[in-house]
Amino acid sequence: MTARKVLSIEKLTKKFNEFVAVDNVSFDVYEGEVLGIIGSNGSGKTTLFNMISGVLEPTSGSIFAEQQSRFSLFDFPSLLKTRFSKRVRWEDRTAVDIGGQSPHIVLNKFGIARTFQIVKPFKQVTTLENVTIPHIPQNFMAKPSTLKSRAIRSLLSVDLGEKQKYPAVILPHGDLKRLDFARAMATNPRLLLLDEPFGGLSSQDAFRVTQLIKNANKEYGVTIMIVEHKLKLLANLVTRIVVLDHGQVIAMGTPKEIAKNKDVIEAYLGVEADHIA
Amino acid sequence: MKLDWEYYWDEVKKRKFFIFGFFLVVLLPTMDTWIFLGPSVRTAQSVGIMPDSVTTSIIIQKAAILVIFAVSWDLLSGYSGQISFGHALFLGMGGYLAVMIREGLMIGDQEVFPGMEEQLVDIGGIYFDLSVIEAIILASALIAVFALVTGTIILRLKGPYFALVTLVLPLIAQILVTKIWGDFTGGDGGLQITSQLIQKPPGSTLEGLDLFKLQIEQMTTVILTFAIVCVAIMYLLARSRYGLVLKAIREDEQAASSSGINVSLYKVSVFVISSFFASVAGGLLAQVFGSSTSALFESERSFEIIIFSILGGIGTILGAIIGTFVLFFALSYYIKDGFVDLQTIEVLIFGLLLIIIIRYQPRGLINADPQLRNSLFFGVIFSFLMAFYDTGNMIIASTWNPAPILQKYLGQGERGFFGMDLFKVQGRMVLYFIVGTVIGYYGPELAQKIRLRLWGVWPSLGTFDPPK
Ligand SMILES: Nc1ncnc2c1ncn2[C@@H]1O[C@H](COP(=O)(O)OP(=O)(O)O)[C@@H](O)[C@H]1O
Ligand SMILES: [Mg+2]
Repeated sequence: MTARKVLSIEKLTKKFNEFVAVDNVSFDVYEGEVLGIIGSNGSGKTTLFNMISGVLEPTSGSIFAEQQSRFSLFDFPSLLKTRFSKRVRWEDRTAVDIGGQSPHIVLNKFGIARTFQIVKPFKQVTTLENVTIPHIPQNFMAKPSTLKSRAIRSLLSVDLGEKQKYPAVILPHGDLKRLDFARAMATNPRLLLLDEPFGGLSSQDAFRVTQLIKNANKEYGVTIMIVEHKLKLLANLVTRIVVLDHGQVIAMGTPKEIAKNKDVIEAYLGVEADHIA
Repeated sequence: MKLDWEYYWDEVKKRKFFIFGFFLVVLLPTMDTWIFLGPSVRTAQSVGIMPDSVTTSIIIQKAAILVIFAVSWDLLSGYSGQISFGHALFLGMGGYLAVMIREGLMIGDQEVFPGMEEQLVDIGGIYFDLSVIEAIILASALIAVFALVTGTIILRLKGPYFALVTLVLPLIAQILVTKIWGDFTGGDGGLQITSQLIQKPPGSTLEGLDLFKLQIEQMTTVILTFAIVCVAIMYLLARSRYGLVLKAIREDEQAASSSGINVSLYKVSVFVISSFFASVAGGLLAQVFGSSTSALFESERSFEIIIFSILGGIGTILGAIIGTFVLFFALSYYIKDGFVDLQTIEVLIFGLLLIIIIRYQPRGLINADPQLRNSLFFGVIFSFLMAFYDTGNMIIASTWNPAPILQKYLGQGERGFFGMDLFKVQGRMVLYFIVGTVIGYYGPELAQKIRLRLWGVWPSLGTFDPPK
């Protein structure tokens, strides 16, 4: 069986003035896999996600993804942009360069959702409304009861059902992380980018998130990319790891291979590698 | 669409005292001909506690128009978080354009636009010129198109820059209409309205004051109808999923965008909707004033409704309605009539109130804690009772008049304290209101404390056991 590509990054570079945050990065993501991206703080992982999800425009290079649904009239500027963006053939399919598209286009038309390293809940609205919002673009004309039941299902899936009437601002960090996950999953993505989903979580909360990620991958067939700087948490979750250092890819492979890789140990893993090997 | 009546009823029940106070202040003066309430209302009016019904009608007209305006601001700034400091731009444009469309446009001797034909209709005994209303709606639609174009450009500005641009635009407009386009905007004098919205019924024998009263009443009905329709549309929009998306944009643009929301589309759309209703308010205001002048563009107009909405509760629609009605009413009758010499007192009082509210009740009166809400209600009741007592029109004659004492300490003559008309009934109402609110707020606590202190003292005397 040959794996199908869902995302292909080619020579992607991001410069902030003179500083190169992401440097000539290339790799592919295949359908159904869980890809880990590790690297020390400041190695450009979040910047990479920001470029894929449309928050930042790449300085150069391309991000290819396959279009899932058609543009509408309201997407006029983006429609124009895709007309002129690069295209590649993936066997029988065509992929478009999504670099520089706005986040809602990347999400709605290319099925790529993300979570945030620093959670961004809609603070002054209730938890239920928080997960209703991402359902709205795809169900704008749906009946209120349909929308509500979908939102409740999203909330129940992350064990926040009994807190549906709380404003998000009063939830503890662990709940907010799961709420953010539910928000991203509510958009029904094909590819999900998780930026440090375990950041600041207790081991118990981290375990719950691990289950959620596994479930999303197995049950819903979502392809997942996880950014994390603790290799330990990724070891039994991911199929493949990309290691970033100073914006460059220094290694790629299975968790076992990465743990043994000399460059990686030298650049970043240090003692931690022992836990896996 | 299915409405959640239970929810609305809950909202009303939670604020029952507040709404009753609103009713007392705003609507009671118009009920002077009712069978049950009439006599008491007339008594209150005769001593100056309440304005007479014509004054009330005029205040209600203006307040209702300001409510449309305030709610349109709240939809834009309170919901989507795009703070506009110059919403009067649309108020003024609406005013001018509606008059131009209705009356026609002449530049020098050349006719650019002929104006609209008179179209008299009779609905439920109200005899009015439909073309005026058509002109207002047409003008607002044109301004909405203008807002679509400007919004697409200026809503790209992030953070304070959008607010800054909105601050500047009405100033530019003001200069344009008074100085540069004076030929067809009437310069400083503005555009006069020649065709009245409300007309004299054909067979009517009413003359003079009676006719004036009837027309004022009918005008109030028309404007209130407008206000109810406009506000209902905006309220339903705000409570729908559209409003929820706007809130998401206000809370976090990046997260909204990453939830699949086309942020710029929503921002522009709410800008267009908001400008439409603000222009409707402008067109109506021109009708009430009898002309469109550059005063419509004044920043005071913009700030007034911002203060009303914030005091009432920003981002709630309901807050903008209650805040505008109650405060505008208090401002127009009790404060301005009570303290005539201080033209700027409203700025002073509202400035202070705003600071207090933002510091202690940032979610506004509508969401204030129940203690404050109830004490405001108590203040209203207290001030009415005290004023009745004071002016000697209750069963108990006035036995205590603070006027001489206050005169002694605050200055000679009728006007003491900084030239305020403290001893006019309206002025005293305000003071009693403040006193009543303070009593309502601290009174129960104070009483409790005193009681505790007494219980504390008496047992030590060994003569009394407090009840368990
Ligand atoms: N908007 C920005 N402007 C300037 N520099 C930035 C910006 N965003 C990130 N950087 C820099 O890029 C580097 C990579 O950041 P980031 O991608 O957040 O790292 P990571 O997520 O791997 O910890 C950091 O040195 C950071 O300071
Ligand atoms: Mg990061």
